[in-house]
Amino acid sequence: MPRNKALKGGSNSLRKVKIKPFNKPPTLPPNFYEQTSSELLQGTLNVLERGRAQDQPKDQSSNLSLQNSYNAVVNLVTHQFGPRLYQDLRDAMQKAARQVLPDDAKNEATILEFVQTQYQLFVDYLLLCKHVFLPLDRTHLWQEDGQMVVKRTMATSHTHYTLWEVGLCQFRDRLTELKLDDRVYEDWFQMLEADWAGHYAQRSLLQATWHMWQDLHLLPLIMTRLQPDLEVFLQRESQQAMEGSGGYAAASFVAYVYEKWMHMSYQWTFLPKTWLCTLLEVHLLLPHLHADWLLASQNFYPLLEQELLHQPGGPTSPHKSSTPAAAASTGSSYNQSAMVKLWMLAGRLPNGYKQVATCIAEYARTKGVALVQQSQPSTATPQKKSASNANHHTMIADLLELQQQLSRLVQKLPRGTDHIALKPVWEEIVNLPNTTPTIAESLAKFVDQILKNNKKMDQYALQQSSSSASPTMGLASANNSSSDLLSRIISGIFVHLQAKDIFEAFYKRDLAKRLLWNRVVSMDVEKQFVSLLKAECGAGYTSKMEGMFQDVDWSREAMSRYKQTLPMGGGGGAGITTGGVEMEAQVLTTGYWPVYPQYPHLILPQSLKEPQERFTNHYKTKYQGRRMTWQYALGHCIVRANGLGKNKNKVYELVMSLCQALVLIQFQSTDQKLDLPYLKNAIGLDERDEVERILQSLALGKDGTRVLRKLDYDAEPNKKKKVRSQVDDRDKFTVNMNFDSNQRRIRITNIMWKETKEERVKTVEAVSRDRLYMIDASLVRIMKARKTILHQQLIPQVLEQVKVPAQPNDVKKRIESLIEREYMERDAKDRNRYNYLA
Amino acid sequence: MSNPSNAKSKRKRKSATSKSSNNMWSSSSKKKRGSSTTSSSGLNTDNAEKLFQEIADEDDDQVAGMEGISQLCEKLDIDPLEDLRVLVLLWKMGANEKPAQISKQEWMQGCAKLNVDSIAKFQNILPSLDTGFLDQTEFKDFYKFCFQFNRQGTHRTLDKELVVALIKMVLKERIPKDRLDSFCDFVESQESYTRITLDQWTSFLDFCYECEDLSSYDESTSAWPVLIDEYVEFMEERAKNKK
Repeated sequence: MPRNKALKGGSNSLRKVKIKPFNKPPTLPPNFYEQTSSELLQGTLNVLERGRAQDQPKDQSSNLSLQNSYNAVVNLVTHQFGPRLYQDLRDAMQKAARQVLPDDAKNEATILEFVQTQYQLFVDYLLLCKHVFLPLDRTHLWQEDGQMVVKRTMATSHTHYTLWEVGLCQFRDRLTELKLDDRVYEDWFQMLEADWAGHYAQRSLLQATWHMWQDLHLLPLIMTRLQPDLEVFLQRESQQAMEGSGGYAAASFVAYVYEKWMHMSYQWTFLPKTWLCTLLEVHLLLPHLHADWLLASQNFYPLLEQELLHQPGGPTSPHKSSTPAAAASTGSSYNQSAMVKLWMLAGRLPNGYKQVATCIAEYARTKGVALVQQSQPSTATPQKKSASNANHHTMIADLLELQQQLSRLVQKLPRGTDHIALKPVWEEIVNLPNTTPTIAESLAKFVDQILKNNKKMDQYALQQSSSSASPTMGLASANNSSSDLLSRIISGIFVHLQAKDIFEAFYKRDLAKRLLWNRVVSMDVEKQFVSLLKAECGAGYTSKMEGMFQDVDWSREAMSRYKQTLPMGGGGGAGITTGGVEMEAQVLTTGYWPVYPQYPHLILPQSLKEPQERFTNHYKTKYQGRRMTWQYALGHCIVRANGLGKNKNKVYELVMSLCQALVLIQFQSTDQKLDLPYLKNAIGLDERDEVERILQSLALGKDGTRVLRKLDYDAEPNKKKKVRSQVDDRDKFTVNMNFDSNQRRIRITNIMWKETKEERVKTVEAVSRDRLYMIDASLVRIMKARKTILHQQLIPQVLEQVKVPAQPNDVKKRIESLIEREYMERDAKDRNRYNYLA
Repeated sequence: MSNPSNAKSKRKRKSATSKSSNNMWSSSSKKKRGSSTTSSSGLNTDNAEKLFQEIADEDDDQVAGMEGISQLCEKLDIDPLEDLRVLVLLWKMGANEKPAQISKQEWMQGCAKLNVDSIAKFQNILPSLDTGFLDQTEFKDFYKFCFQFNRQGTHRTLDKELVVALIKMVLKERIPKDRLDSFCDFVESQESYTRITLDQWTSFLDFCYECEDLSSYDESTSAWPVLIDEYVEFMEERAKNKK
């Protein structure tokens, strides 16, 4: 147009061109807003209709395409109709909410589903609205309090809502209006319970409803209701689980909790996990955990033992049972899996691992301490000595067993070894104070037993290996298991032992007995054990034991060499026979072996003296300069006896100690009844106690070993009275002519061979004397280095240096002794300070 | 083991005692000397020596044993078995070298120190020899001296019975009676103790000074000898039984 004007201007030059505005500004059609908005709103509302009747063809009444609708909204907003449109849209939404939730919605049977579908419908509608009214949404906000629509600015507070929120508000309000929300929640919770119980439940519905609440900002409200409900529910459930599961209540409860936990956390993914965590922790686990764990484990171990005893050496790993049915059929593995489950569960709780680890440690402690205390001779019921002895042996075996079980369990638990440290517990148990006999001693005895007795060894080894049929332990061949047992003794108990010196003393003494009395079952096993000790404590610890082995080996060789030097032939054919007595000698190095009583005045019969002298001469000429003494206390011999009992021709071989034999020989030449003082003089034994013991062993032993008969001096001939066990000087002895036994070779146990009380006391004394020197040495070492030191510093340092168990009081006594001997002094000014005196 | 340590300790003790005696007197003797010169009476060393000769042992005129000391006591008219002042006198004179005797050298030095050369002068200073005049450190030293002086020859410990008698005498006026009596009861009742060491002896006095209230006694941290620990236990037990 201007161009035309310009063209005109070209002919008519000075004419100004005026552009006139419309004298009447263009207006919108009067009903523009009404039309457009109603079309828009109707169009969007139609979506609801469509949704409700899905199969119907598209409603033709809405002519607007989405593009057109959008343009229309743009136009309306540009023409300042925003607030009005917002108002109307809100009304429309309200209407829509009414439409999806009609008044009769209350009567719906499955309210949860109904609400859910309607909500989906509404959300679809809302989505469309959001899309179509995007320009409106971008420029305006709904202000709740003033019922005003404001311009969208940067500063929007939480009282301003977007279209979407406004829409959801409408739905929520409608829900409350119809009082549907309570019903929805109740139905939902019922369904949740059903799901827990394992009934069919539409979990998607549960989840969808949860999300709906979330969208509608109802969740905080719901949570406040859900929490108490869930708590009550969980408590009830756990109560039922406890009551319903009978004997294995605790264990199955643990399993139950674990399953529920898995259920909750993996299947109700919609529930916030942290929240569940707290809930579970507070209401299910913590109040029960400790007690239940102990219960569970206490139930668990007997069961485990049972099961393992029933399938000895079974290589099948019962702990891997995966199906619940199989697990339930074998109670113990069920329990173990429960244990594992509990462990995993605990891992989810703050400090959970630690807590369970404490429980396990506590369990180990109580159980271990109980084992040790059981073995203590109770003062109330005086037991027989043998019974309490047996207790000590089983105590060690039980401890080992317990240790096995626990270590296996710990290995079983994922990352268990990281969290569970049982070492301090074992240390505590093994070093329990005031045990008589000490654990070190019991352990030495136990080792002695299994080394002496193949059967016992196998029994324990088998017991252990069968219970250790875990994949890591692998092969269970007899040899392996026995060495396994030994190494477990070392690694399980011995390493924790503080009183290694006591063990050493007792072990050495027993070892000496085994070696000297030919009670060694397998030299290899013996040596293996010593080498294990060596590996643990160093060469100094075992040098004497090794020396003992060397002696025995050397003696054997020396003896065979000696035999070759003897003239062949002679009395009884091959070998060294003089007067029918064959003699073997063992040469023992002083210092390696324990100290044995000496019987210097023992009177040997000629038949024994001869070979003895011959050997002495042989030895002395061969090894000049060596001093040799005969240890009569260690001698033992085989005495052939005939003419005893009914069968006069039967020859018995009596295995007995040298002294016993000497006593017996006294009866050979005489038919008289002999008494103790006579015998004592005859054999040249100085200790009366020893003679009494010998007589007791000969006359009062087990049936079938009583070679002598004891006649009490005060026995009345007519009355049958039990023979006294003490020997009075006036009591007489005679050969038991009624001696009878099925066996040919009879071992007459010398009471001295067995542990006598004094011997024990002596060993303990020797050990504690050594300890004093150790403390002294340690004190002087520290004082020498420090010159001056406070009492409070000195004591711990000494206790640390001295490996054996020592009380501060012991150290104090040694300090006093050193002060007295003027190795150190108290500081003149500070009583707590010591000075070293060099 | 015991022999070399014995020899070693003997040597040590000798040096220690001589040192301590030097220390003990070096400060006070100066004062005394000063005062004696002002009194100007002078010390008749011949008289002092004569006095010593009278009480010296028959076999060895360089020392005076218990017999001689008893003689001296008779002259001074005090009871050597009951009167503590004898011990104080001997302590002041410095009879440290060997137990139960005083050597001539010690005697002469002692006389010079105390400024005495006659029985009369001895009697003059007798009142000042009461243990009540000793302050705490002096008394401690005297207390230790009592132990050392009553030893038998080379023995380094005292018999329990002697200790009970001696301690009752020495500490009678220094510590509360119930503490002293209960301690004596305790020592007598303990069968594991037959002899008392110097450390235990001296520790008891320190213990009495430092620990008046037994309830505050802490066995675990204290460096007291085990004897004291056990005494406290004994007292606790006794208190319990009374209740």
